[in-house]
This record gives sequence, C-alpha cells and structure tokens, in this order.
Amino acid sequence: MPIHVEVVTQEKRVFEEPEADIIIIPGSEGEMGVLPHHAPVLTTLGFGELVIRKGNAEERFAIYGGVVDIRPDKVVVLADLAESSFELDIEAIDKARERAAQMMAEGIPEEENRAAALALRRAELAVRIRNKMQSRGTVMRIIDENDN
Amino acid sequence: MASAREIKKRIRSVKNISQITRAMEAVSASRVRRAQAKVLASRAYSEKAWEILLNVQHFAAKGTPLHPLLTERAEVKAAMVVLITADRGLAGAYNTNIVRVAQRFAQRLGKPVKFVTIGRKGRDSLIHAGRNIIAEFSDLPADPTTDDIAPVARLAIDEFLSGSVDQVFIAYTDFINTLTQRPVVLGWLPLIPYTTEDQVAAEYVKDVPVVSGGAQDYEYEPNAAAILDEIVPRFTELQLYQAVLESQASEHSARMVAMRNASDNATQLTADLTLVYNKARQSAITAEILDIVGGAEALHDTIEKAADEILAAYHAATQPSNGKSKPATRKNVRGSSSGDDLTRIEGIGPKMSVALQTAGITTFAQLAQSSEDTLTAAIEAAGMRLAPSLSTWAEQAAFAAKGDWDGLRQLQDTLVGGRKA
Repeated sequence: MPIHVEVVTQEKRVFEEPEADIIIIPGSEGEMGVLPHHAPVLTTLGFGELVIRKGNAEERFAIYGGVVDIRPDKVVVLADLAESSFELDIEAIDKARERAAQMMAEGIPEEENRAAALALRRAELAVRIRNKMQSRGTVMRIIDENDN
Repeated sequence: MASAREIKKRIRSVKNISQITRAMEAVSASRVRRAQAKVLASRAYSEKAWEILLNVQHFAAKGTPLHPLLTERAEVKAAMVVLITADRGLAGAYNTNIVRVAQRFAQRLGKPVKFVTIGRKGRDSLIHAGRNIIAEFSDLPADPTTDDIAPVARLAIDEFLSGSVDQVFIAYTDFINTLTQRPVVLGWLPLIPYTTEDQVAAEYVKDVPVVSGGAQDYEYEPNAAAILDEIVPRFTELQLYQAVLESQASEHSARMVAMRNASDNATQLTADLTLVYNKARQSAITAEILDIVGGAEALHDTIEKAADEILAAYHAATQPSNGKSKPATRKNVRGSSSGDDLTRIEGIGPKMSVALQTAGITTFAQLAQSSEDTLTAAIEAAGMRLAPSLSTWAEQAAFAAKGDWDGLRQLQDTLVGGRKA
C-alpha cells in the first residue's frame, strides 16, 4: 500500500504525491522514516531535509520547522517553510548567510537577534543540502504535478 | 442651455474619467484572481491545522493542560475586534459595509471593545465614530505574505495572553463571488468555534468550517504541548492572513464592479452629452442665420427710409411754393405699378396680398375703403380660405393709408393674430 503525502506551507501546497513508498522526515527528535501502515503520530519538525521516494525517483525539500501528521495511509507535512532542494537559490543563500552572520557578529537587539539566528540556521541547512546534492550527482525526480 | 463649447469640455472630461475607470477595472480584475488563488492555496494548511487542533483538543480534554490560546475564559470582560478594510475608496459599498457590521457587532457584544484596524478607511471611520483604536496597520502590500501580517497577529496574541482582552474577533469581508461579498465577523481568539446567543450578532458570525477526518488517537512526539506550541501561533496567524486575502479579493471585486458601473455610466453620459452638444450646435447655427437675416432686414429698412428723406428733400427744394401738391414719395413714384406693401397689415401674408392685388386692391387707401364683402369676394376669387382677421384689415389700412405707422403699431399691439383680442 502506497502512502499519500502532502507538503503544505501557510501560503501554498508545495507538493502532493498520492503514491509514495517511503518518506524520511526531519523530526525535531531526529530523522524518522515512514513506511505504509505507520502508527498515527503527530510530531514537530526540525530543520532538515525531507525525502519522498517513489520507486527509483525521489523528491527532496529543505524544511525549516513545522508539524507533521502521520497516519497509516497518509502523511501531511505542515511546514513553516519548504523549498525544493533542487531549486535552492544558491547565491541568495550565500548572501543571506553572510548577512545573518554579520548581524550576529555586530550584536543586535534581542528580537532581531532571534530572526538573524533563524536566518543563519536556514542558510546553513541550505548550504549543507546543496553540498550533499552536488556530491550525489543527478537524481531521478518524481514528476512534480504542482504548478509552482 | 450651456454653450456648445462648455458641453464639449464636459464630454472630454467624462471621456477621460471613463478611461481611468476602465483601467482601474482591469487592474482590479487581475488582482481579484491573484488574491483568490492565494486564499485557495492557503486553505490546505488551514484545514489541516484546524483538524490537528481539534484532534489535540479532543484528547487534551482528558487532562493535558491546553495551550493558552485555546482556553476559553469563564468571564469575558473586554473584547477586541480586528477590522480589515481597504486603504483606498472607490470600491462601492465595500468599506462602509464591513465598518457597519463591525460596529453593530461591537455594540451587540455589550462589552468594552478595543479596535485594531488594517486599512486606512476603517481607521478613519472608527476615529470619526469615536471608537477606541489601540493600533492601526495600513499600506499592506498588494501581494501580502504571512510576514506582512505577523505584527498584527503578534499584537492580538499579546493582548489576549496579557489578559487585557478575553476575546478577539476579525471583521472582514468574505469573498463569495464577483458580485457578492459578505461582511462577516470571525471568532478568532481563543481558537475555538465561537457561538453567541444574540440573534443579531449571530447573523454576522462566520460559521466554522466542518472538518472531516475524525478523531485519531495519535502519539505525540515529543508531546502534545510541543505540537500545540508549534501549530497554534501559525494557525492563529494564518486565520488572519486568510481574512486579509479574502478581504482583498472582495475589495478588488467590489472595485471592479463599481468601476464597471462607472465606465458604463460614463459611456451613457457621453452619449447624452453628445446629443445635447449637437442640439446646442444646431441652435447656435440657427441663431446666427437669424441674426444675419435680421441684420439684412434692418439695413434694408434704413436704406428705404433714407431714400424717402432724400426724395422728400428734393421735392421740397424743387416745388417750394406748391404746398397743395402731394409730395411724391419714392414709394408713390415706384409704387404706382405695384401699390403698397399690403403685408404690413397684420393677417395679410404674401399670398393674400397677391390675391388682393389681383382683385385690384393695391393700396392701403383702397383697402381701407373696401367692405368685408368685397374682400371676401376677392379672396374667394383667388381660391383661398377666408382669413379670420378680415374684419380688422380696413381699420389697419386706414392708419397705413394716412402714414400713421405709430397708430398702426398701437392697433396691432392690441390684436391677436390680426383679430381683436
């Protein structure tokens, strides 16, 4: 039995695949692989890479926090922010990281500090994913049916 | 009637206005679609989140402490309404409607209400109404993201958590279709379905969506509270975000319809004014022709009078002693063949004068002495209809024959269409 998987953010439905085989979720308590007939779990997401596999093809997303609803036949990822690993804007990420790092170094008010720390974490994750992607070479992707 | 030039100016300005309204209509039409697409796109998250919330709440009811944003307060001392309007007008009744609903709802609550406004129009109306506004947010971008509305959500959550208000509502306009937008009030905080006993207030309250999926017995990782901490603020924010998007879709479609009506009216007005303009132009031409004709006539009279005077002076000079002899006027000299101008008698037109001349009546003197029977015979001989003014002709002609033009005029003034009044 395949798993229906949906990745949604507040602003849009990022991805939907009705027949995935396995989903690797970056939970806040560690990565977890979800196969069909998983027990119902609600868990929070950390910063990490979400992987959805279907046969030989796969789809990857950089996830920055959120919640996931796991049911035996369905997984709904409510991400605070999700970007396809294949479409990361590398230049923008580098710039964001530099800016965030600089802000952190200069010392700024509490409120902005949190935002900067968040941006920095995001940028670091994106860089890590990018490096991994580059070392892995070409990957067969699940055809994205979404209009994004 | 205004002059043709003034009307032309108005036509031009109406046409300019219609160009602007047409442009605004086109802009709004594309924005409606965009806002609608965004509402739909964000619905997936909110449905899921709402489902999870209900689920967590369902099991939390067994003893786990609820998230503070989910806790209903026993006593509601004060409430807050977030009013979402447009920054700009020209959108039909869009702004008025939602402001009115928000105010009525606040009245119905019967508790002190603090307002937070998104959009200048709502702010201005509430200030005018003397309401208590604690914050205002305007100039949201045309394409807002959750980041843009986050400060509003933060403020509402802080106010709620600090206990200064016990309920928070969002007053916004639900987009139903291009022609219909419904101003509604959404029970926002605490995040539980809001119900009210008050019939009137209940009319404005938006129904909570029914969520399928049922209660699943979940395992929580790491625990229910952590899940709620993650999802509740997001969901809270999202509800406001969706209300803003719905309002924007409504605003733009209201504006689109208003602008379409304005364009149609402008087209109609242009057509009407063009008609008036053509009429004015025509009457101006007619007036001009009449002026020219009148001028020519006046000139003609003046010349004749001058000629008469010259002739009179000539006769006076050549026959100074012969007082008895009738001074030959120019008319007499020339008029022996054609007679007097009988059309000067009111009631006699050019045709009638020809008829009379045919019957041998060519001078005023002859006419003055003609009996009504003679005249009737003359007219009938010419095959014309009898004139009702016949009876006064002799009297009029008597003045004319004496050359007493003033007397004639005085008499004619008392006549109506040549008849005695």
